[in-house]
Amino acid sequence: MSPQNSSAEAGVAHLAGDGSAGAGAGPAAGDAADHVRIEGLSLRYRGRDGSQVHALDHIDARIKNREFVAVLGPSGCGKSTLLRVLAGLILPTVGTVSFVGEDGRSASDLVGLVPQAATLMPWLRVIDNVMLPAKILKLPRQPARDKAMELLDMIGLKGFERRYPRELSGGMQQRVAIARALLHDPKILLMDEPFAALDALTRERLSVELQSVWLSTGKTVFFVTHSISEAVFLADRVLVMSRRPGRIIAEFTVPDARPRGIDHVSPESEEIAASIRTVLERDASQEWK
Amino acid sequence: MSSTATSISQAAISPEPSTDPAGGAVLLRRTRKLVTTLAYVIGALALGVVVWELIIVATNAQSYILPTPLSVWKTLVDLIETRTLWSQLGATMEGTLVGFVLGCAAGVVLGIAAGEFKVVRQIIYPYLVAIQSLPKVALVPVLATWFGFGLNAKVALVVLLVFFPVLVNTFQGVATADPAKIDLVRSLRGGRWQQLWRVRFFSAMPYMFTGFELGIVYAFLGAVLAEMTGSQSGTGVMIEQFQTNADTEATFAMLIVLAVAGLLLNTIVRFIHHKVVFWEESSGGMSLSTTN
Repeated sequence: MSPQNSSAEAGVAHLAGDGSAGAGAGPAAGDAADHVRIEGLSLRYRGRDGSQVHALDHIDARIKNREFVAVLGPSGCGKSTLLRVLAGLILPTVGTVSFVGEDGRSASDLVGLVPQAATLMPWLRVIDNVMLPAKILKLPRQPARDKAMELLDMIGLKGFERRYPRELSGGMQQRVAIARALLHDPKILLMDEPFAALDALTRERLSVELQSVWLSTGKTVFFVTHSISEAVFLADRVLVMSRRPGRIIAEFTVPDARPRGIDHVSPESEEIAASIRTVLERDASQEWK
Repeated sequence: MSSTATSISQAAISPEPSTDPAGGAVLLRRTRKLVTTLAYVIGALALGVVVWELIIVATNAQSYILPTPLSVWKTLVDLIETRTLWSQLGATMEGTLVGFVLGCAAGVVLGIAAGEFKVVRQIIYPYLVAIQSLPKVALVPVLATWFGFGLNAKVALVVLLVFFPVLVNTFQGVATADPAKIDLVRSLRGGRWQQLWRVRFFSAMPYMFTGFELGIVYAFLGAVLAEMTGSQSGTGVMIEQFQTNADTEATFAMLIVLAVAGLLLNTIVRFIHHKVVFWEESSGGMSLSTTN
């Protein structure tokens, strides 16, 4: 990639034509390290007013084991819908989502979901909120409790077990949600704009913390966001989606080393951010044609 | 990273009730507010008594039409001292509470069932509309035919009055549970029962209690009404007798007794509401509608 804006645009045009190739180091597709394979996925549903909504259009994507993938797009582009499909909350109209284990065989599709608002149960104490997956999945109580304490310690909420959610700040609530998503030890975390409701400072801090959680737990992460800087800071790979019907129109690999600091900037990441902006603007401008 | 996190946590902990020095100030402010409120209430009551006296003076009303506040007060003290009031009030309370508990239980169970099963919803709905628009007082003679004039008839009317607001509110609470919370349970493969037990039931609790608050008002109303229209004991029967004897002072005294008892019942339910549904953000004081 070239630092000039014009040639960055040329590169984008190429990507828009061929979504399977990366912008940075070209990742090999379809090897045994795949964790999630999304193939030919489309979703249409009948909207409330009876009209057909075409939410997702022929999405093909692969997510590798332990990869941090960010999905970026304008609001209403179907990125959260894609996440809901991965979570098994809605069925696609056509296409498949398959989860592959490290041995190459079909693996559990059990996920750890981190919703947009922390979505804690206000009637449960922090510890019981974190243990909710264990209760629903009927896991043995004591090991789950130990695990919950360990996770709360990891995310810096030791000593807050007996609090109720409303006693915590927004950032702390979101951390509880992350701990909860990790309790049952899923192989993949699905995060739906988890920091969108937080103020900028808390957001940055939580991004850094999420990175270290990710580095220490080795989960695959599927992270939906509408913030370019957040996507570029956090992700190994950024998928850019178009306006509805949502398609993947570009894909960028962020090569920067880990761990990235809170004030991390590199020429590469800046260039990627600029390219993403160009892709999104071009997509938005097509609305008027 | 963990150390930075802890320091953030410590910073965020500060707005804590009771432990910080501001706690005393809060308590003081609350006490002052309570005293002010109380002063207004007493003032308003005093004003009422003055107006009452003025009306008597102005219209030259006879005591069997409008007794003086003082004579009503004396009669009230008499009633309280003569014990019969307590046993009669006990009878009213028995009908109120038994009916209230039964009506609430039935309302909650059916409300949840209606929220969970479309069939139940569709069966209940026409009856709901029909019975809601029916003045339930009209059922009193029918209930008397079925249950006689004892506790059963009283309880039956109370149950009928309590049941519907509780049912409707519970249903609404179950049906409007936060979809994001439901999704969370679903993402962990929680089925219908898990969704109900982990989310919907608790989400419905503030609504249920709103139903209970309405219900207790209806329950008391129903019990007194049943007593007035035909019963062997209770405050309603007392009022009927006083009325027949043209003992207006005693009738007025009974009204005061009923007002205080009703207020007490309502306060208790409210108190339990706030204790049980401690997580409720704000329970705006609009739950007590004026539909009776």
